[in-house]
Amino acid sequence: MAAVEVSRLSFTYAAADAPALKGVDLSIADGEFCSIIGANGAGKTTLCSAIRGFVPQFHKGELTGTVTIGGKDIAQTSIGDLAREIGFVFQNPFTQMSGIARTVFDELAFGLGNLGVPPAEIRERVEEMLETARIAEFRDRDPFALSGGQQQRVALASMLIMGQDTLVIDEPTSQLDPASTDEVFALIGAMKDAGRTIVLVEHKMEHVATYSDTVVLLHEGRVVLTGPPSEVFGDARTTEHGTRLPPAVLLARALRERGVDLPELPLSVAELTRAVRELLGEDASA
Amino acid sequence: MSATETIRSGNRVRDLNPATQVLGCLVLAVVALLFGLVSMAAVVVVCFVLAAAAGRFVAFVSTWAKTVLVLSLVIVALQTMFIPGEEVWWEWGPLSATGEGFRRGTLFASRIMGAATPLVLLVQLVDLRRLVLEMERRGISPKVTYVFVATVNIIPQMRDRMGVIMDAQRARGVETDANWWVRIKAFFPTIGPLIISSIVGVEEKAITLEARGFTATGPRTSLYSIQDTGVDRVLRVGAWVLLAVVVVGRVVLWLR
Repeated sequence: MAAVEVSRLSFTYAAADAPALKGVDLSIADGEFCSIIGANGAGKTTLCSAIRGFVPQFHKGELTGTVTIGGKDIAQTSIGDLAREIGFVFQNPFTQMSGIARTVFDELAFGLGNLGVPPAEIRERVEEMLETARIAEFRDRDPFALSGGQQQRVALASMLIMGQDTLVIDEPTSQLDPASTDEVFALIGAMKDAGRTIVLVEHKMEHVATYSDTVVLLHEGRVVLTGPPSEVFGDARTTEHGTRLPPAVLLARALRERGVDLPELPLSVAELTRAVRELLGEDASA
Repeated sequence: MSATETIRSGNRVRDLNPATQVLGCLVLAVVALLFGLVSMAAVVVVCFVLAAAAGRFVAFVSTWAKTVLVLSLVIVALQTMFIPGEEVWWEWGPLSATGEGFRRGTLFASRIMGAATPLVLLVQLVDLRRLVLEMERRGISPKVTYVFVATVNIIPQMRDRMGVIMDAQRARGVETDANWWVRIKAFFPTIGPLIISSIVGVEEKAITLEARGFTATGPRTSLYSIQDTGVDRVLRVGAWVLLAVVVVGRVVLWLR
């Protein structure tokens, strides 16, 4: 059974002239890391909101089609109870703090308390997540006194701790510097390794290419391409629809135009370096 | 350590149950309001003693002086200058200080001081987390307590955001630091973005709460608890008795 199944999903926001999503079909397998890419206004955030159930229960409008999470139609579940099934992280770290926790420890505990998890288990899970997210040094700090990157890690940890099988993450690094971006992706990658299903919207294509099992290209509310990163980033339609390519793919294309025969499309600078070294007869593992 | 931590400060006054603290301060305020200057003075003295016993004397006096005392002095000064009367102390242009105005201002200010001093004390005594736990224990909806806590916490957050907006406006050439006229002109370019960003922030905060299971059905749990001791119960009964006595006493005095 697919973890997330989107079927013929169309949505028009109340007071909008045109639909934000037009007949989207998408199937995400259990444990899959699926990235959604596309230009601004392509419908990425609306699709995330629809998968999490905020569309149309929170953002009003006209919706047709269905979204199921683990076989359960989310239209039949309240958005509060969906917190047990699916996590949601978005771009602004500041507004993702609960606003009532005095410390990072309490911030992480907030969601578990809402779900009625026994206090002893809350403490155990918070301690574990502080280590996993590498935020133990902030445990007694006020969440609002942290930097944007630190806050985003706390926001992500506050969601991951709730233990949902599926996580929807909408542009988590858009306000972060490169080092914080790497830390956030390392954490998301760890969740994928732990078997969680990840739905990610992201503009940093090198990270998308490195971490994703599947990439979905959206354009004007429709799915244009779906496939493994090498397939999607190797397709000319990706750039035609206003999406940037990972730097390694751009470099590889330039090399191919100059007659360098790269056997596979490298998705990261590390892969490209390895491929070029092999072509030059150097030890690629050095 | 037990999984549920009892929140304690180690001070007997501050560790009283928040319901006891709230009721005690409200009864003090009522006592000050129902009787004259003497009861007001007594209530203020009691508040100073309780603040000292709570280990909050300096913070209490500082807040009290900046708010209640200043407000009371302003009331006395304005009433003295603007209430007309026969007993004129001195005149300065259109202003005249009168004995009638001073007495009326003193009475009015004493009531303000009597009612507000216990509230300033309450702010010093009550721990917000403990108050929320007690409110929820008494059956108040977590949605109400969330709004209560978030409202208290939002003030420093909005002050920080205001600083960021002012920096952005300065970067665009809007003058924000100079005389009062310049500051008034800078008010609208800063307050507009603050309100709009706050509205957007409220929507995102609501999404955050939904994502964190705030409206999920079923019982909640907490890492913290508070005590409601025999001393608390005795003090609350005493406070209710005192309240009944002063209300009845006041009614009797009015009827005589």
